[in-house]
Amino acid sequence: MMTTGRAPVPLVPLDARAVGMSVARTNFMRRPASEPARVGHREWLHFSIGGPDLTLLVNMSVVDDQRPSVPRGCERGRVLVLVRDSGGWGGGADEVGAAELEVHGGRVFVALAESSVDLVAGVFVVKVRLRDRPIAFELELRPRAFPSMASNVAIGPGEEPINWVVVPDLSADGWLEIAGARRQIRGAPAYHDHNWGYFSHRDFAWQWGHALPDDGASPFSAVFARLLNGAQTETYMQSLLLWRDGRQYRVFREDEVEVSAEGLLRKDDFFTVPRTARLLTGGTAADIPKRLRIEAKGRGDAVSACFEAIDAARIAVPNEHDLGTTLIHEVVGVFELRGVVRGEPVALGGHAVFEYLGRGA
Amino acid sequence: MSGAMRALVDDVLDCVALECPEAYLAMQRALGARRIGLAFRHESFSLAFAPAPAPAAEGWFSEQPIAIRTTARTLHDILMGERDPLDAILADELTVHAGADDLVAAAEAGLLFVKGAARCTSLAPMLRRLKNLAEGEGES
Repeated sequence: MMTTGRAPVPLVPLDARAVGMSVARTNFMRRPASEPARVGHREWLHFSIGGPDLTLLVNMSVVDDQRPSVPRGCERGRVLVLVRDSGGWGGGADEVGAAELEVHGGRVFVALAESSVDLVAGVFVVKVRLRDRPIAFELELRPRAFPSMASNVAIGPGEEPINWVVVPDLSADGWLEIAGARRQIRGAPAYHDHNWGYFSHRDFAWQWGHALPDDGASPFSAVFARLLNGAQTETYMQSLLLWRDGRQYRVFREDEVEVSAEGLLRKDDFFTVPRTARLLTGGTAADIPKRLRIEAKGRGDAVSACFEAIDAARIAVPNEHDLGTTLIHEVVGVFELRGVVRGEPVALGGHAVFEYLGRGA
Repeated sequence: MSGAMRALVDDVLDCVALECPEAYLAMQRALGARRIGLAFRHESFSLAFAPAPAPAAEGWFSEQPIAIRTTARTLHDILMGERDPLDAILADELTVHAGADDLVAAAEAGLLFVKGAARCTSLAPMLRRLKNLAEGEGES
């Protein structure tokens, strides 16, 4: 493994205002007008907060409601929460109809029943209160890195493209309450992505992960994105993105990246949200690699990375195009990356969350 | 609580039929002329799904129903993912009596029902009603 090279030279400190403006300019709701010419739009805001001792995942999604009993132009929303601590996994989901949904296109504002996400002066304000589970939290997430945006990423023949913005590093402050027990969250590491488009899960899967260093002095953060066909036999795109001191530092793309999987994560049971969808998950067999190895090199740069899965929970997403179920495995683990970029050593070791897609019943 | 479970089951089925008719019709097809006898601690009733659009003719439905006996608590815990159906069967908290073909059809219909329910936005209040029935069951 290559670890030689000059020590990283600290960059000038980030301008928090510039980061906030950049986030606001790229990260706004893309929902179409209230009288859309086409249907099938989907969009979600995803946040991952914390480390190995406490991981909190929240996803707020808004999709065109295509059910035949619903007038055209209506949307439906969903709030999904997963939390993992020393007691294991918990969480729940709120399904939200059009009457309890408020979304402002052109900026980040989503209110789904008693939960909401707002972007105020470059800071995400996330408030969640699940209706049927004793879980609530209010967090302010301050971006500590410039976002990266990808537009019109093709995901195979006959399928609409996907778009996203990722913010790899944020600092979270606030509180989390589970079953009446409140804990404060101060300066917790966090990650955010925002995806949108008219794509379906018809023949589409992804492997997606993000990692932040356990060592607060480390300047690096990483995001891995790989889009595949439904059978996961064909890769549509893949990239490993590195940030240093909050700035995008190197993007390894396509042929520069080689991915291999080793072993499988075995669990006797998977915590699943929505809890009512557990019967749709099709048992405990899951195609979750125990280790995902990523080798990336090009233009004189080279890094080796490995994500080792430790634990996982499932999100069950009913397909829009048929009665099947797409499973999103939220996998927590340890990410290790070493190498040389621009002649300087790169090292990142720490908590990471990866998503692997699967098929349910 | 007499009649409360029947009313709840009817409301849930109406909800699935309205919000996810594809799943409801597939469930109906899976069951065909089979009837389902549901027995809870305080209430028993029978379900039959007439083929749409014409009402079923007399004698169309099977005489021997698929007999399901359980409690509101067990049903709630299974639907909420807190109890595995197989564990409930092994613990005698859920019994299903039927011929092999009927059991397969019932399992398929049950899965289609859950697929439909998973697509309903108005299911949450009904799950709360089921939870209340489960809690009331233990008190009476």
